[in-house]
Amino acid sequence: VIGDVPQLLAFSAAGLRLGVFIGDVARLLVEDGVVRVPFSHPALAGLLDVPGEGPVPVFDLRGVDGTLLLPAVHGGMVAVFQTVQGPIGLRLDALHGTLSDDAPLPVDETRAMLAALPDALRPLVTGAALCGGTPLALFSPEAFMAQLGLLQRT
Amino acid sequence: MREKARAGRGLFCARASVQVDVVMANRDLQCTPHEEPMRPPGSAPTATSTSTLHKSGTVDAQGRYLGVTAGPYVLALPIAGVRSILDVGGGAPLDVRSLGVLPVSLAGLLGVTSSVTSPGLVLLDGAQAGSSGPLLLSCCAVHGVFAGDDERPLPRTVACRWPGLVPGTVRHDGVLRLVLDVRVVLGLAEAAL
Repeated sequence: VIGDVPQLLAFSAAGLRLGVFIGDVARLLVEDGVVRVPFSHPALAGLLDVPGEGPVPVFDLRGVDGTLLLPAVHGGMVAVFQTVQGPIGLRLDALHGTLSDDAPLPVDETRAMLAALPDALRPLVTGAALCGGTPLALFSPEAFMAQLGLLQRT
Repeated sequence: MREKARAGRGLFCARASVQVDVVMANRDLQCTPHEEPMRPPGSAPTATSTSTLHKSGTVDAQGRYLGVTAGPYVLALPIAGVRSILDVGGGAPLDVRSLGVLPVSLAGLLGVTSSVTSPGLVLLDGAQAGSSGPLLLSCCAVHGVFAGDDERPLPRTVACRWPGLVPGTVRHDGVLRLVLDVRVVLGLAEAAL
């Protein structure tokens, strides 16, 4: 925590309560329809036409394991992260706001939290924190891209 | 022999530039102000006329696309790979017996099903794409020819099982469309046969 500067953005996605370092978040957008891409990864909901940015791929954590058919979402929230590969969007169930009073979660509780995560989503989490008394799994956009096998495409 | 010579002449024309003509588009088109109608209702089938009309009656294909949809996909075919638009769809149910050749469903090639009973029909230029021959493609809808706006490559964070199938995106009239590489579409069709 640096002064009163918020450090984490707390949100829910795919039923999980997650946090991401605020510096990774480029924009927060309302999804008003995405353009689906044929033969793409099941987690890719489609391309969102972002003004001034161009098409940004929007992913849904529910599709990471490739088993769920992604429903169309209109009016949902999308967080856009900057990665080394370019901007990516992530569908959010809910946005809980910014937090600055995070603290490390005890090791045993962190292990328990990671163990409770679905197998496909566990590699996307790089740690855990206690924010305002609520445990959060820390989401990493770069780990997410690596999980999808997209970091090799340079 | 005469048929072969005629076909050969057609292929030559298609390689030099693209002649977009409407053979069966006897249905009303809903075109935006920026779209060029493929044929005004009631007029005779003619080549599309634009500001880049050549003496031969053909048009420059650079940056021009044919908007189509296939299932949930909103697409654009580079006009350089389109030989003819045979039907814009949306009218009476299609009787494939009248075509003489079975059209290949674009939606099917892209792995989705289409329940459209009156699809649009587009003849892709196989010769230009280095394929064995032209391909009659059925689309859920044909939206018209337009000049591309804000053409961009596909973001690197989008992986496609068929590399090169979607080389980029183009925006027209506020709608983002995926640009399909006609050569890859022809390859998909040949692989499916």
